[in-house]
Amino acid sequence: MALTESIEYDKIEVVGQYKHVQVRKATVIKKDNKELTRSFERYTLNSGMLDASDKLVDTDLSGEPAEVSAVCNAVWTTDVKAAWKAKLIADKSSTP
Amino acid sequence: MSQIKLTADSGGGTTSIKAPSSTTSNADVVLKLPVADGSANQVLKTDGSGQLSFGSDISDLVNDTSPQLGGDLDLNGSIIGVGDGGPNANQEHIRFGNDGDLRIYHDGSDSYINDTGTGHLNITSSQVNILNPAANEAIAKFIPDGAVELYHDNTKKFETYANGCTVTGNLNASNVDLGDSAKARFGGSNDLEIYHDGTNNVILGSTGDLYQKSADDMYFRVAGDESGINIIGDGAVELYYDNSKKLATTSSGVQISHTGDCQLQLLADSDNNGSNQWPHIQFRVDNTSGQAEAQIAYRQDNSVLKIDIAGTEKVGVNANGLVFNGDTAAANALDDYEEGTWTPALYNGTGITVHSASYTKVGNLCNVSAYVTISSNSSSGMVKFNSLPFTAANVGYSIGSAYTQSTGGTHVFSQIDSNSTNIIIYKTNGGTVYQSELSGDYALFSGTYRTT
Repeated sequence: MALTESIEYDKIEVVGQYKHVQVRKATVIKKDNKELTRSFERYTLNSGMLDASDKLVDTDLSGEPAEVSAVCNAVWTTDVKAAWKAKLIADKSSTP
Repeated sequence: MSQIKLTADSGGGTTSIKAPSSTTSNADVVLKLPVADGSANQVLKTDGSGQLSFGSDISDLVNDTSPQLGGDLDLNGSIIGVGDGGPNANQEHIRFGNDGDLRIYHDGSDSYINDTGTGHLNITSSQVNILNPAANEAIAKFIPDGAVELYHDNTKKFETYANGCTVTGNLNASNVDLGDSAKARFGGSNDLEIYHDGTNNVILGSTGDLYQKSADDMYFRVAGDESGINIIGDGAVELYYDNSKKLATTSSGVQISHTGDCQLQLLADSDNNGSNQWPHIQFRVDNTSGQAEAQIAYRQDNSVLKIDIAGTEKVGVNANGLVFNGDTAAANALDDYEEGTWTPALYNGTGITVHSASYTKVGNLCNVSAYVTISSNSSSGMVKFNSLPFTAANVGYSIGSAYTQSTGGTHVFSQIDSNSTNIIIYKTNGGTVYQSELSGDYALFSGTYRTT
């Protein structure tokens, strides 16, 4: 009888005009190679955030798995980043 | 002198030797007596040249080791008797042929016509009849240009005719060999035929149903001896694929089994011509309506796997997701359910401790909640958590509830912006909650928003 735990990034989705990357990280527990449980943790990544001077700071992808980084780098083009930055700045002024 | 008289020593009589009354062409005949006397019962014989000798009497066949007929033997109403014997030289029998090819004898128990020599035993006749000893019951008849008939107790059972033979009664045989396409036919109109056509074996019933009955089990074997169908008496009917049982009836229904992925396929209208021939699974009880109580069906025309209750579609699954009550609108399809955890992070701020953060997504609605403690912080940045599990759709703000430890009597709420991955804590008057206000304090918040 062997219990194993593994991590699978089983969903990497690109959504919306700002190319948010939705990542589903599955933790899989198996007993004798038969799956017992699968639990999900999700997070989303966008291309950056504004600093105090409204400069867009790129999201740090160093902690991401290679497949996630690859998707992010592929979809976060200059145009996407520019649009995202504009959106963040606009949100600041439209906050209720 | 034509006679010589010899006077006996006593009695006064004579014995004479007399010549014939006349001769032929004055020929002389000289008869010479044998030198010595013969044996008892012998007769005086000539050699044809006048030499006389003593020999056996012609009637003494018993002692004649090589008797011969000089002409046809006329029995004159008598019989030729041959005792019990056998086919061998020292056994009584009647022998035919130069080499004794045919012998007829009775061995004391049975009679034999023994043809062991050259050629065949041919019996020629206008008709050959084999009868009982009293000659009043037929055993077999052989009719030239006609039938051969075999009888049992004087009743004909077997008869040949121009197209074959007729058997009257039962035919018991070890084997009945029929060639390719030769048929065993049954019924007055050949209603059932069994034959081999040179390639395949055929059981052909042309009238009525075909019954096969067994006292107990019945097995249909294929590919030599692999199980195909087993019909168990008072039990299951089993269907096999490649000698492996796949389907069996049980006392309560049917069981389909397979080691590995097990499939039950219902294929209707498999030519995909678009007509409304759907595969159905019906669940039915004995009611008076005659309709299925419930059924699962796949409608090819609108590509939905549906569950009907009492004839009405209640639930369906199509390419858009789960639909209800026959709805076909894509927007109304429930296409997702998922739950899990997420990890809030303070936007442009210091670290936080996440005690719990979870989400539940149903369709395109996602509900998030979290319980966090914000580290010591003097930032004037807003309390804005990013990394929502799903990106919010571009449909405006979504408002949720929130509670913070140190905003005291000032109530707060949560807001999720459209097209974002953030959730922000605001004061109910719309004012910003600064990070420094929650330095070292905890916050609880939740919200429900539409995803993309």
